[in-house]
Amino acid sequence: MEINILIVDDNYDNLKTLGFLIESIKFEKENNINVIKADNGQTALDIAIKKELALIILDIQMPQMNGFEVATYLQKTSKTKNIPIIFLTAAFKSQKMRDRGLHIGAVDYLFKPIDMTILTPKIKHYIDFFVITHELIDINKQLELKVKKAIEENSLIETRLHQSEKLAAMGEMIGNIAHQWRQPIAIISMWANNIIADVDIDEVDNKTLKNYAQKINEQTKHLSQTIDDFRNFFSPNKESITFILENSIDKTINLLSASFQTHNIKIIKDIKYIEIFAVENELTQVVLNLFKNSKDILITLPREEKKLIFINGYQENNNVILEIIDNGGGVDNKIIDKIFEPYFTTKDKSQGTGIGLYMAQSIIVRDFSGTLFIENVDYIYEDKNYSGAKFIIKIPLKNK
Amino acid sequence: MNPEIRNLKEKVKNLNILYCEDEEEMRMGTELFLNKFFMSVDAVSNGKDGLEKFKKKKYQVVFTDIMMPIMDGLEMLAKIKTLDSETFTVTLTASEVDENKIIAASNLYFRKPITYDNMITVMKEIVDEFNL
Repeated sequence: MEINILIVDDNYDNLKTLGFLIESIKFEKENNINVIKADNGQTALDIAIKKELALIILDIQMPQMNGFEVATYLQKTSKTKNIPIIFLTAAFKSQKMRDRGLHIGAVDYLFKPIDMTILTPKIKHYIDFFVITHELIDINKQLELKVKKAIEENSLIETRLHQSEKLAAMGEMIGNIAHQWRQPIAIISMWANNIIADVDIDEVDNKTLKNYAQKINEQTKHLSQTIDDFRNFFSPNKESITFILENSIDKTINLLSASFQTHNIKIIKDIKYIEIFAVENELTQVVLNLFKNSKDILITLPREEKKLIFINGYQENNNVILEIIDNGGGVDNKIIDKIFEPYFTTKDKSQGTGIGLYMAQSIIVRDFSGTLFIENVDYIYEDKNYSGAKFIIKIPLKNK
Repeated sequence: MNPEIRNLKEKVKNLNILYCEDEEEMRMGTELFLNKFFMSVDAVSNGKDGLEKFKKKKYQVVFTDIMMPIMDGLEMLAKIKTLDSETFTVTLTASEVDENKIIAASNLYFRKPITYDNMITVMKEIVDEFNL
């Protein structure tokens, strides 16, 4: 490492002697010691600004700008204020002058003639100090880079996760809309078939035709209602409102009604009257994800087996508890700790993204300051034994 | 007027039809459609009622949905085939669950929505099946 030591003295012989003495010091460590000489205060300041210095040894009595003035300037300048200064003087030996020098910010105040037994260890000490400081600065810079990189990587992962969450929610919604639409579309198509058949068989009657058209119109209302329901759910409205838990759960069940019907899934609901102040769509999203999770396991059950989802809501102390229980057999204990991890899925890649439960838990924790747990349960329903997964949402009730 | 369709109607009109569908509006629309071609159409809303009807009367053709309460279409079709293996079965369903089982259990299988052309195809298949 290159180490610069600036020596300042208006007397050329003194400069030469001191330079020679410093250059003759035997250092243990291999550093390239470079002694820079200045014969007046202004030159010293210029060098201090331009070069990186490990130490300045400064004479006091100099024409134009004396050593105290030089030191004062150096102390005021941010680039130079941390350079250690040792005053070396022949004239100002009084205690008062020494105090003044140290007060300006010098680290030491020595007298001429130069006693190398005193100066050498001090020079060595400040060189070591300079080297260590530099090493620390380097380590610090590397750490900063590492931290910055880690933060960047983390925020990238967060962004990707967030995008995955959104995409998963969208995909899920589109699937649900397709389900909700299939029946009305089938009905519309059948009424249209009736019109075509009447034309083909030549039995067209205006009143009947009008009736068919009205039937078709009724179904289009269902179609547009579905769109409105899902659009409400997707609205970027993040405003907290007071809503009734059961109403909200009913709306969520409604979004999935066609899917539940298709798969013969029975919903058993027991929700107490609770008012919640929160962003309603966020709770909907959580419940949708948990319903979907249950549905995905239930549809793998044999056709003749009952498919049940229980949803219970009640208040306990100052918390709202929402439980969702299915009869899908529960989660393998080996993986039960992992199911809330992002991208963890037991399903085929075409089926599961591994985002649903992660999303549900992050919403509950992040937006509701609550918790979401899972446990396996055995229970009896209508005199039959069932086993399944039980998700428990716990949300502290907020005051408006 | 379409002479081909008129002709089809003349050929199939005397067959007895059993039709199972739990969704009321769908059942109404389809029953009305079937009534334009067949003189005797019995419509029920689940597999159990369908099976009861089938035990009491001779039906040449059974149209059925799959996802229905009490007894689903697959179970009903299996029982009907054991009672009378000659029965021509047409499945009309929105579900894609158990598709292979449905295809195996029925003579014809269509996913909802069912177009007019599909319904005409069904009529033609029935004509072929019963040499009408």
